Amino acid sequence: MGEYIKDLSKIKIGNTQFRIELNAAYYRNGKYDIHIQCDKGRIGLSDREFLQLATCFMAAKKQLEHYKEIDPNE
Amino acid sequence: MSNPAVILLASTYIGGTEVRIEDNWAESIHFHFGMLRIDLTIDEFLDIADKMADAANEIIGAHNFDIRDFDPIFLNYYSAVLADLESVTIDKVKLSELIILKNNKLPVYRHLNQSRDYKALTGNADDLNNYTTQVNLIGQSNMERLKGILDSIKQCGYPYHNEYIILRNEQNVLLDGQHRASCLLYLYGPEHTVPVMRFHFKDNKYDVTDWHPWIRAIYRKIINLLRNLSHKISGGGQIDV
Repeated sequence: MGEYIKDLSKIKIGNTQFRIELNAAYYRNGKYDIHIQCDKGRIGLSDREFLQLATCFMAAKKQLEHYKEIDPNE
Repeated sequence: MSNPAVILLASTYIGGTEVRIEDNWAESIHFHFGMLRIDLTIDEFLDIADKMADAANEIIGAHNFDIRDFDPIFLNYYSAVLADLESVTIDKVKLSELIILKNNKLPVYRHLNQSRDYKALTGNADDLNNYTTQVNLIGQSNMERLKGILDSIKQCGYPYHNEYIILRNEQNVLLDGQHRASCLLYLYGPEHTVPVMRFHFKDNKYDVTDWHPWIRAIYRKIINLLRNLSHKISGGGQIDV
């Protein structure tokens, strides 16, 4: 496996905590592999794939804030 | 039973797997990754989006770049190239020097005054109204979006909230900001010079070297046709690249 570098962040869904973990790239092109993982499982993504996922969440957040009129600064 | 009030917030494909984020009214935010579905509360969803933005900034690590300074709908479209971003700089360019990629029947590079947005501002909105693949805010038409940007520039100036026209490397080909650039051209004319942001990619990757992109588009269509034909002959379904 790619060498563990550091935890980038932690997210919580229900009672389960997931870590977003930065690893050196091992089996894909790119600089890093990103693992989104909890004690029971893991999703492995290349850095490009993670950026696709992250920007998808950010775009979805913008749309949700727009039509539900949520103030992002609150 | 499925919820009839489902609003698609954003989608993408990761490694051939469809990713969809939906708001299911009175239920939850659904995150679909292929056949997998995870239900999120709104608070969980907003928190994940923020944490992912932080993580993305660390992964990109480009000089002068903060992912939150950019329109996430644009970033979602160009996310695959962000890993190659090295730095971001501010430059000044005359509006007449800006080049856009037009995607009608075939993709072509044209000067900004050929954009569908500029044409709409000068009285011919057919191209803009018929452009169905543009992603706007939910409930917003192409024309409403354009007029909103025009009004914003009139009232608040340009750039507002660091939302610059974005160019690739040292070239004057737009990556983002065609609406803003068209509004500026309409308001101030082709000789006006404006600040722009340049995305500098590793080894000038994503420079436009092919000034006739329609040749590549036709090539891709032929290759797809041949692949699908070969796939059908061998008993499979349709594929696309």
